Amino acid sequence: MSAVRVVMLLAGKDLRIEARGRQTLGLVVVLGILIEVVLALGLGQASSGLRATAILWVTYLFGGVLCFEKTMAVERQHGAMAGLLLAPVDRGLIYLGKLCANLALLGALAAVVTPVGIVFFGFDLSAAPGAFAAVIGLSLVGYAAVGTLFSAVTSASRLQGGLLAMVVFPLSLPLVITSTQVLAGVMDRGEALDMSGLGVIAVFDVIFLTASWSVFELVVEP
Amino acid sequence: MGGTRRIAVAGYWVLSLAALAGAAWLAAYYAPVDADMGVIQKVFYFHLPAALCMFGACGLVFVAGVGYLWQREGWWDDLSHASARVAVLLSSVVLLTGMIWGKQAWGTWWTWSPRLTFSLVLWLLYVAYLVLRASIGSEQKRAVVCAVYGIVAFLDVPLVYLSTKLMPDIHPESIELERPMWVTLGAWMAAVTLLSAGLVAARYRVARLERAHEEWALRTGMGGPA
Amino acid sequence: MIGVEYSIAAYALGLGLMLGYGLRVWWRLRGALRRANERAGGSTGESQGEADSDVRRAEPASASRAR
Repeated sequence: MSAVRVVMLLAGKDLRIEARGRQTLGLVVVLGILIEVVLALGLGQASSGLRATAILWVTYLFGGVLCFEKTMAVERQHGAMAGLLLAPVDRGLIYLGKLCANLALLGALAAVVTPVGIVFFGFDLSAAPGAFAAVIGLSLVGYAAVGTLFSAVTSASRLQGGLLAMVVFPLSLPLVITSTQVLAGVMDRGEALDMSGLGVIAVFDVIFLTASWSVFELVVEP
Repeated sequence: MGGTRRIAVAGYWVLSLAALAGAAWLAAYYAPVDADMGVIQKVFYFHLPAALCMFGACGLVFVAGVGYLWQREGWWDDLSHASARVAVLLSSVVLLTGMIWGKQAWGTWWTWSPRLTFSLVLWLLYVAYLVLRASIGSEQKRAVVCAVYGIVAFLDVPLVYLSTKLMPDIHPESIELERPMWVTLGAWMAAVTLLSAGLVAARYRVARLERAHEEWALRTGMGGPA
Repeated sequence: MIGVEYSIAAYALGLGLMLGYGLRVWWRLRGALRRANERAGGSTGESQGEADSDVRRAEPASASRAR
């Protein structure tokens, strides 16, 4: 089997499980909307690009952590992970499969939560919708890269829930800082998209995809 | 632990504390008061060396992580643990001295300027290391996970730096230093480095001894009389 | 002389943290060394059983501190 096919199969398996129950997505979407309601009650409607991005990041971060946990928890039931590790498949590909499944879930989350945020807070993305999509899309790849790696770690430990957030949030802060600054420049000050900012995010993606892909094997060892 | 080692360790600490006392004297009486910033500029002699040693400790966590994944020896893990603790300690010192300076110089305890944000994120990264460490029961697993996290966190540091560079800045870029100021800074650099290295070594020793003790208790507890 | 109090506070706080941590580590190191010595004595002497139970009684405390 080609590597691409293996990754597709693995990701497809997780997404099929999700499609049958729709447990994770239902949970994270409602959670995301709740977070937005709470923030909107305090912050009101007039929002800058800086705020808009940060508010959306809160929903992505918390929703994302739950997605990462769920896709990995599936494997912990009935010893599925042990079976997966026995399969004649490169462990890096297992990582990539999980990553793709997580990215699909994150994308679905963002697709619901972002429009809701636009309505609640009166965000104006019309200035640069392309720049917004590029920055957020690239950032979510990096976030999922780190999250997928550490979800494999924390699903085996005691403090599950809070722990994954504790580990992944600080590591992802460069993404949050960069995207808020870049989008504030684009939307509030009407500048062109800051390519060096986009570069930081791209470098983050490359570094953590490579690092996670290569150490995933060490982390999932039983 | 022979007598020679005891004397060497005691000598090291006497030297470090003497260096600290000397550096404190230099900062208080020898270094001139800065014309623009006043006395508060003297905090800088402590602030900068602490920041540099913090990077050293973070680097040591990284090195120990790589070493552990390569050789799978418990002492690498202990080294990583000890350095991470000192890294958190030093970044707390950097943040606190920086905040006090900020209160005097800019009139506010905190602003979201690049370097403050950078120090804060670094502090969070290594505090998360300690939390992660405390919450994994299995020794083997803990060592691997902490090694991986130590490596990933260190790779994150330059990215945090680059990302904070995008923020608006009020931090002093470079400070004009007179010769006595350089001397004082050098003395503090030496004192803080000695102190930090000593703390890492002592914490490492504690971790080694406790590991040996746990292994021994496990062994005798299993095989010994019930 | 503006900022004298603030400078002193900064130094006191920073050095207090570092030296305080040093004292804490020193205290733990003393305990660990003492136990190591007891262990070395216990494994060669006759009273091994007693040293063992001593250590086991001390174990939970050290384990909780290690967490």
